[in-house]
Amino acid sequence: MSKYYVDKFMRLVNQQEWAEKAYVRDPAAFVAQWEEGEGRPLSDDERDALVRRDYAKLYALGAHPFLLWSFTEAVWVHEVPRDELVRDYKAKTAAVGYPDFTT
Amino acid sequence: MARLVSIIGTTHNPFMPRLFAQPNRPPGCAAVEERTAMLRERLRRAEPDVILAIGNDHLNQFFMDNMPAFLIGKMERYPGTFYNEVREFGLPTCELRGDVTLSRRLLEGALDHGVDVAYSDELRIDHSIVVPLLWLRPALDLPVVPLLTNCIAPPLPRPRRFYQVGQILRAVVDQLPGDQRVAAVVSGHLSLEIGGPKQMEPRLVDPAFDRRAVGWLARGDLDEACANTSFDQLKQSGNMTHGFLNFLLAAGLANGQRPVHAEGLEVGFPAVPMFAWEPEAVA
Repeated sequence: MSKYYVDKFMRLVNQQEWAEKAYVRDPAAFVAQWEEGEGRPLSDDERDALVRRDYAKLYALGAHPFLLWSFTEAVWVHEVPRDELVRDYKAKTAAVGYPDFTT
Repeated sequence: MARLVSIIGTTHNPFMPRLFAQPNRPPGCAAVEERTAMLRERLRRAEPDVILAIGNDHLNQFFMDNMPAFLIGKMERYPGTFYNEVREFGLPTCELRGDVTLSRRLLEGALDHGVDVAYSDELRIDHSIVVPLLWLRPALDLPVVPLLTNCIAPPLPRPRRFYQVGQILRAVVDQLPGDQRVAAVVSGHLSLEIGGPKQMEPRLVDPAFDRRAVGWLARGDLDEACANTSFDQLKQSGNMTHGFLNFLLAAGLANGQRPVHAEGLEVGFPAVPMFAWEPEAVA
């Protein structure tokens, strides 16, 4: 488990417009390039969840919820109406409960 | 002698500025505006020279590579708001004037009193500082000293420590040379959830907690407040309820004195805290 690096990745995408755009354009390539620079810290599950922009999985893995919602909105809202995204996020996280997000 | 002339505690909900500007805004917005105007007037009447602006960074400036528990900025000017806050909340960017002399004095005084507070010469402040100032001092015309706390990346400082740090800062202000009039603007939350299943509901997250928490502060019952606000206890009332801890720091600044106003407004989204203390002058 490398929650810290998942959070670090989400924060980069949240805060840097270039990263947000590069990630949305080609998630697999952007994750691979970023991870190379970090020394490949992610677990297979974490890498797979980031490549698929799978917010439910990231939540279950203990991603920081404050970062995760902001990240989810940034990378999905251009494809899914916000209200629908909020509903889906709430439903999927409700099924998981409250994972420990302590790094 | 310098004086702490006012302590205001309120929300830093970053969605509010945009929400309040909408034509179909929730009906409770008018009540929030009315109370905010009351707090703004209290702050104005106190005639402060400088604002000690206290909030909690949201993993914007600080991160788990190097996370300070308490940090004071000591810059001439502070840029405000981050790219993601402009994108997600529609907040404006801004620049706030600092007061380096006061920053240094607070830092040195805190260290002398046993609080090993961190400092920064390269600090961008996020919505926890910017939003309350936009509500309470929209002209942004007073210099600020920002104090940031860690309410978001556990392990957090303990509730009692928030209170103690407030008490110590008060002692430092009371002993400052000169005749500066200092006001404290402290932002935080009552029950709140972001990024979890209970986020963005058109109602209070945990009304029972909100009532109890406002009651602790209204009665000056800090023992009860500190005994019920550990990380795990607060998480039961919403995963981001930890912003309440900043109000324990505010109560410490007031030396446990009761506030003249204490309220959690229910207006169709998570509760909007409204607190005001009128600190008694030190003889």
